[in-house]
Amino acid sequence: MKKLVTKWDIAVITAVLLISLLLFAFRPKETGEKAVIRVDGKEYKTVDLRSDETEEITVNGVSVVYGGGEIYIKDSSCRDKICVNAGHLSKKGQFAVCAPNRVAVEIKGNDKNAPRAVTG
Amino acid sequence: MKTVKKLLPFLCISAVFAVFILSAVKDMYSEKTEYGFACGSEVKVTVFGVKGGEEKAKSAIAEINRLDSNVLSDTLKTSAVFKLNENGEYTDNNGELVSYINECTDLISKCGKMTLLSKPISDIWNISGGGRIPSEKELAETVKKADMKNLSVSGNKITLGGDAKLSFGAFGKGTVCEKGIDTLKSGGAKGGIVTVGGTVGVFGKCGKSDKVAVGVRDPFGNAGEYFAAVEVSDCYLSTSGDYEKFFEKDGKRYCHIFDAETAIPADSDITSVTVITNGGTLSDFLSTALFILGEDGLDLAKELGAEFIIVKKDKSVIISKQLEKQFSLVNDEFSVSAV
Repeated sequence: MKKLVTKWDIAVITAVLLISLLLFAFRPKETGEKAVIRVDGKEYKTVDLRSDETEEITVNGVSVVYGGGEIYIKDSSCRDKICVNAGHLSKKGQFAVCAPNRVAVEIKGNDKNAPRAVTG
Repeated sequence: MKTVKKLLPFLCISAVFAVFILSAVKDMYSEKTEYGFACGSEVKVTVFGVKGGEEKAKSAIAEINRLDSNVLSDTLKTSAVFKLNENGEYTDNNGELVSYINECTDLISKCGKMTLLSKPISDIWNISGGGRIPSEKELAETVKKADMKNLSVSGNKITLGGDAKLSFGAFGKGTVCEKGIDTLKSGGAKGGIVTVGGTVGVFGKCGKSDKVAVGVRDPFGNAGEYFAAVEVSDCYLSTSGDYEKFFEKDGKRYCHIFDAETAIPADSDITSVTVITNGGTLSDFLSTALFILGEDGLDLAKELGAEFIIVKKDKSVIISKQLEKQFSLVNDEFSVSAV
């Protein structure tokens, strides 16, 4: 009588398990190294903050500078400059919003224990 | 035995498919977040536990936008308030504006230092345009304009007297936040979080736990930084402070929250006030009222059944006794006492 489980079966099962493990280990991580720029509530661009050189992009009259581990709104055509005063952002969850120009920048990522929202 | 052997590959494949289908279904019911803008702030809506969460979140944002741009805004020409301010009167056919005015008028009757006619005050100080200090004469004239006696509602007709101009500045974010939560509830969501600027509304089951952790902004840090967190469910949280909208002159800070009796920015040893209560409009009102009244306002908070977190400029924090178990400090430069 044939064996219930052949070497071949074990090989397939092991392969499947290994692949799942690899997929799990290399699942995309949410770190503080990326930031999202939103315009009108829609994602406009996700930028990498890790490069040493800074880059600048201007959208809706708001100029955003990123790189060297941080992102900030350098200038804006708005009156109150709350967005510029938000300063340089480098930690997960920090954000700056220019409401008059409908532009927001936010550092991606959530620690498991981080609050779901912030009042203030 | 042979049958089992033959079935084994099929069982494996089915198991793999089952995992895929289950994860797809889980994804369908997982939380969805959408963003928008209203009341001069970013709006964030997260929906939990319902199929088509994205659509539900979008419809909440659409409803918030409608309420802001058709009714409450004092800057958008499309709104009822804008038309009221232009013409000195407005006939509110569907009664929506009247109901919000009545709700706010009731609240203001509990705090004489607030007014719905605050627009002339914020206009003369021009905080968003860099700020200026008005003369004594201007202040006296403006106090008269801001007097609630200049607002009258009769049936669905609203009338402004004495050059008054209405603004939902101290209420609007809370009002639209509450509207967003109501829209999610009626849309069948099991849980939701709506953030409008600094006002946060929470309802139902948001993820695995019945409670949601909400951070309290560090008034000395950047936007998004918090010095403490509170575990809450089914409530609204609002914060008023002097750390975002202000100007400084000769070393003195002038913030955007005014005492209606003097038309002068509130100024005390307090830098921010957070309140937690069961209504959006109420929480927005109360955080402003407590910022102006200071510790004198604690009785009002108790009367209205609200919890509070008051941060002073020396980093000492006063919280309400009932909040002790839900409150946790994350920045130990602050010291907390409960009253």
